[in-house]
Amino acid sequence: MIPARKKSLVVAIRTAIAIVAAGSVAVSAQEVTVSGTNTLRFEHYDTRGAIASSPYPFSLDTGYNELLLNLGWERSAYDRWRATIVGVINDSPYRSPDRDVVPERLTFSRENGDGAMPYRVEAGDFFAFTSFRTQQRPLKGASVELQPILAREDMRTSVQVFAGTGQPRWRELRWGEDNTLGMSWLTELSSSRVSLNLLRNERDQIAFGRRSQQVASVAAEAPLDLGAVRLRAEGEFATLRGDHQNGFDKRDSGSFLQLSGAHPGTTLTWRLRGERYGQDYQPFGTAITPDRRSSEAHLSWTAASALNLRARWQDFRDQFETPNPLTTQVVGVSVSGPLAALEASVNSDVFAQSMSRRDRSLDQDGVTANLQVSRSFGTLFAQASALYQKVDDHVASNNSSRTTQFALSFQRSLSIGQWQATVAPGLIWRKVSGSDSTGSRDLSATLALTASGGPHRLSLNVGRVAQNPRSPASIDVATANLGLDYRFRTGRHEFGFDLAAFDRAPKATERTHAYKAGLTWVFHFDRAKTRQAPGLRSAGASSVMPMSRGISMRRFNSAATSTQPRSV
Amino acid sequence: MFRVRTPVSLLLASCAVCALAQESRSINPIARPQGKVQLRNDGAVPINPPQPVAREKVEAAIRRIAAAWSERKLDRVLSQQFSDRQRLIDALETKVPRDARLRVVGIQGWQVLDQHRRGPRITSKLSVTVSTQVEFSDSSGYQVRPGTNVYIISIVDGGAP
Repeated sequence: MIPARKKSLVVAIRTAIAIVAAGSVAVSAQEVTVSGTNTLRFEHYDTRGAIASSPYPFSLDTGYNELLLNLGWERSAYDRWRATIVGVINDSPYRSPDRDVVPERLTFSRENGDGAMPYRVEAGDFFAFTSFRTQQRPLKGASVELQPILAREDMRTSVQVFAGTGQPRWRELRWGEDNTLGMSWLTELSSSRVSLNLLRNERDQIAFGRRSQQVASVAAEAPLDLGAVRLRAEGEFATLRGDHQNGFDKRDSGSFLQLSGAHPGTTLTWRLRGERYGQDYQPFGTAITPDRRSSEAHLSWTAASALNLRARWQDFRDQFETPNPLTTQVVGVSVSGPLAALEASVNSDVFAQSMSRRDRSLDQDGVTANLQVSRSFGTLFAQASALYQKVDDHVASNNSSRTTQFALSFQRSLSIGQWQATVAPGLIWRKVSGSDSTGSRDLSATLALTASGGPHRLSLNVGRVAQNPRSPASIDVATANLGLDYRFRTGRHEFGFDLAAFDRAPKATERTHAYKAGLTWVFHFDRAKTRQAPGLRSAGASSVMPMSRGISMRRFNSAATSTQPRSV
Repeated sequence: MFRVRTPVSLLLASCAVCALAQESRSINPIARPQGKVQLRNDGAVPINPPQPVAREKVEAAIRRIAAAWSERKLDRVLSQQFSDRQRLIDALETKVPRDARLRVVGIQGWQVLDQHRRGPRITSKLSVTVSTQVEFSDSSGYQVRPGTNVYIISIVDGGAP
């Protein structure tokens, strides 16, 4: 007997397949394009032994049906409508936190360049990006962009207005919880640009209460020619007024400036960068760290042999507006490129880092050195690497450590009949010394195999790590992982089987075996033949650009040319 | 933002002087009948509307990012424009346990944000919601740190023949 929940899932999956079947009919209409996939998947998860040590906390039979649908309609070569729908009928806690019908990405857009005012409208899921310092995150809402036609051909302007809520799930959408209104004006002249961004965010969350803030910024970027020296400057100044998670009615600012240049007639390039974000500059929807001041200098030189040398100096002051700032200084040198004498290529990075607080509650420095050499011997590719890391903690000596690591790996390409395969074994030895709690000797072995032949594709990864900690309180443990993925494609159907196995064997406590096995059926709405045929249209040209090398133009005829999108 | 090149041609770009820093918005031109092909400010040809990207490519890209994280080779896939790029790479070397590995638990929705062509290469910028967990063993035993994040990735396709 099928439980009620399973029964409703089966009905929902049948409905989805019916919708897909109905949707595929539209492919025959020339103006409308339909592409996408329907993925039906069954999974089995199981853990034996210590469940707390399993990567799969739920042991169950489960599955989902995922629908990806791309719809396109063109009223003319410059008036294009598009919709993307990604949703899942879900029973798996590993696939999504929600069950049953879960809409994941819904995007509807129209782009129209036919009129006097070219515009682009997006509704549903869209990515709000004004700058790194003001807004950079996915929103659910709507965005309108206008690109007025200007008299000067080398000048372009864009005005964008958007409103959206920054919540990840459609099923639990609450506008008041976190919404952003934004306006961005941008003008580009040749290779220079200047933009003005205004944002307002409101959020009403139980943990923080109701908060609102306004952010304004001006950003610019321009080349500077000082005689023979070519420079490029970029900067932004942003202010915040309002509330953030740690305070009400605050005012603060964030700014950055970057200057880069090249020494004339050489391959020497350099970059200087400075950033400053006040303690109360905490805009919602960005990834910047408040209360930080940083300075950086980078130098790069490439030899005629293509060997590249780089040097860097970085100084970060975190919590710099507090009485006890954290200072982090980094000096590093790296080398990468071919070494003609050894017929090999090298990649090395060495950096020293020191971290300290003003009150000396933290005082730590360390050096990390990485060296990797790789060389081909016919069809065999070999790679050797070494790592040395030293951390000295002058306050808590227990945190001091030394790490030494050596690794060796090979990659061999094989051709057997119609099969092309790559085999890559590897070995890593590592010693961590220092305090009893961190000291350990580890040995790990890996094997990777990929193969493809006709409609078949196979990949296999196996790895085992043996850890022998120094501390008598810690126990030796061996952890093994296996990953297998097989796919078979025939026409519009793709079938797959995958297996992931995990084994953790502590020397004195309970062992853990866990695995997941999955069966997948993918149905492609568009036929493989039509997916290869079309090209991609570029902005401003009524033409088709073939996927082959170079760009060639030909007249686009929507009635005679297949407009099936292709994956790239 | 992660950059993933599907052909095995990872070239670490040094800090090219003429490259735009791309720390603020740039114009994605709307196609219109008047005038010539409109290039973006960085010289790339925009593809509008962007074409779909198959799930298998998204899965391969995310798997590659997870492998790069686990092997401490994140510098090979992390975009030059990633905010605090070098600090993240350094932190991975100095703060994360050496045996830690990143497991991809599930790939949820994704969408193409932007697509452009430069020569034979087509770059698709996507946002992908990924559920992952970091796994390692320490003196307290087996540790798991789960998380669901939105990854902004660029898949570069159609490289050198």
